[in-house]
Amino acid sequence: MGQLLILVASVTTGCKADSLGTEIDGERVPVIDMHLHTGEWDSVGFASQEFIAGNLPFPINLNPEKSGNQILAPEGIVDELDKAGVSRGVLLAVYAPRTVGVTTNEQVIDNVAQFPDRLWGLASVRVDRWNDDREPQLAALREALESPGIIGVKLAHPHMHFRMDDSAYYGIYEVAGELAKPVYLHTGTSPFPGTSPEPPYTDPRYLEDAIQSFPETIFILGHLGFDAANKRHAGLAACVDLASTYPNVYLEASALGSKNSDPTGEILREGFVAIREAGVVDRLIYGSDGPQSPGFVNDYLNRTLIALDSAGYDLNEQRAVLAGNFARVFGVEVPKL
Amino acid sequence: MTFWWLLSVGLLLVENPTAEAETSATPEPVTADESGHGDRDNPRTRFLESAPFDLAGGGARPGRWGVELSGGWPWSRLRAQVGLAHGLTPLLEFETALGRRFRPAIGLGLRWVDRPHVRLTGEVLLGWLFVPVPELKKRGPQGELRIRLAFPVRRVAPYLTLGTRHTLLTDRLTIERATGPEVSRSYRHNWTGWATVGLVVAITEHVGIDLGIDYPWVDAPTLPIPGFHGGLMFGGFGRRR
Repeated sequence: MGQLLILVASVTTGCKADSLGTEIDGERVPVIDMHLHTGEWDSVGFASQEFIAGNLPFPINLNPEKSGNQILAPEGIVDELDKAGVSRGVLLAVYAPRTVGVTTNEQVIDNVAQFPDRLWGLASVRVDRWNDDREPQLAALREALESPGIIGVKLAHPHMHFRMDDSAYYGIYEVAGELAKPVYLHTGTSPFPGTSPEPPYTDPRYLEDAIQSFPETIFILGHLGFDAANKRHAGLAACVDLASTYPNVYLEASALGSKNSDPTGEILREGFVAIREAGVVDRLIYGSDGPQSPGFVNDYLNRTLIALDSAGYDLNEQRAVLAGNFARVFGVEVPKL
Repeated sequence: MTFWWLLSVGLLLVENPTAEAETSATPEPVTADESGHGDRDNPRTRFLESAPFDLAGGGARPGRWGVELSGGWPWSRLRAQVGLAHGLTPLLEFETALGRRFRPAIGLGLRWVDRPHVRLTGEVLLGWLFVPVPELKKRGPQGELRIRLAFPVRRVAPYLTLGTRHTLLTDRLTIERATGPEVSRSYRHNWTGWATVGLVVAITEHVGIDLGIDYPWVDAPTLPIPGFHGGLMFGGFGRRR
């Protein structure tokens, strides 16, 4: 029955792409997905478990632990990348024990090591006992960032419950800048219960002080400040302003364009239009926030391609968004097809 | 599935020796039941009033009963019905999906169209949805409106079932405040659509098998994966015609 389940899931979620890359105007273009979650079911937190289970098709969702472990495992993620034609993906470590759970740096390092030609990782840092263990945590972050395949830092203020403008945490940006590792930050509200929805945790304007204070550190503003709780743009203008003003600010538009958040595709298109009109297309990096459920990575890429096209992005601009900007920011090569 | 279709066709072409024996043992040869549909000497109509076809098309004549036990992926189900006066047919159902989603229900059916080769029945059910899986936990009262359409011909009855299920779910939010816990409740509606297409084969007037494909739209808007089932139907034993 397990094999049947996998077969049925494959039929309903699409088959493996013929080759890597996606076709735009008759040309194959490489894709890097910079926002993928990994981990083990028991450690990802109950809110995340509910979220994943809620996105799985019935009746697979009746056994979410088994399905979730398959989806979150590196093999499952690479399988989803294959189906979508995505050349490389980036796995994120998470330390949010009170909300979305924990995926340790060690897990990410191990998972990346299993597919070094397909996966990179972003390390994170525990901040819930920051007053007591700031230095050991920063040392652990530094060590993780020096591991093979770990190319940046992931932070999520609303999940981790620390203010974006709290200078007590600026040591994280300092370490990242020193090691030339970009920092990805969740901006906007979160759909998960128990997160901090107030502006100092979600509004990207609260990052401006850190952005100014650490000009050598790259700040990637994830989700374009999207208000995931109410499914509307909230921080888009702030994100675009910051990217226009500061050369060390980049943007990423994962999750907000999903079927659930953006059924018509207009929200994602609006975001891309605003970025193009501001002349900061060279700052936009592609990410999906997958794998979430079988087929999500592929679906999100397709929705993004539609939105980019309808927002007027030409082939070169789409190439830049899908892989070129990422390669430049993270100092890696654009995948060869 | 091809095998079962071939079996169905094969059964159409042969006489059922068991049914013949029953016929010859009947002290008073009766060729038609009270509906006029079930002429036992006519192979085209002898199973029209059989218990399996009652279960396929829904509804039953007074005193007639039927039970179906079905299993498959992901649904398993027990269904029982008995006919009362005025065409009313009380129902009892218990269904589960993989032993992780349950719904016991009681209901009432009424056959709207009762022609020899067309049965259309409306059913109303009230039940209780119970999903104990922690990540999907939900429970609440559920109502269902369902129609069953069947086309009995000789030994087989292709059928279609369409249903709309509505569940009232309660969300309880507890906030632990310094002054003590604060509990609030909110309510939401959960919809499940249902479609089944299948084929019932009457082995005798009292026993039949059911094969079908289920497409319940559970947890909309996420698209579900279709399922299938096979069932054993029986009923009407001891009934004299």
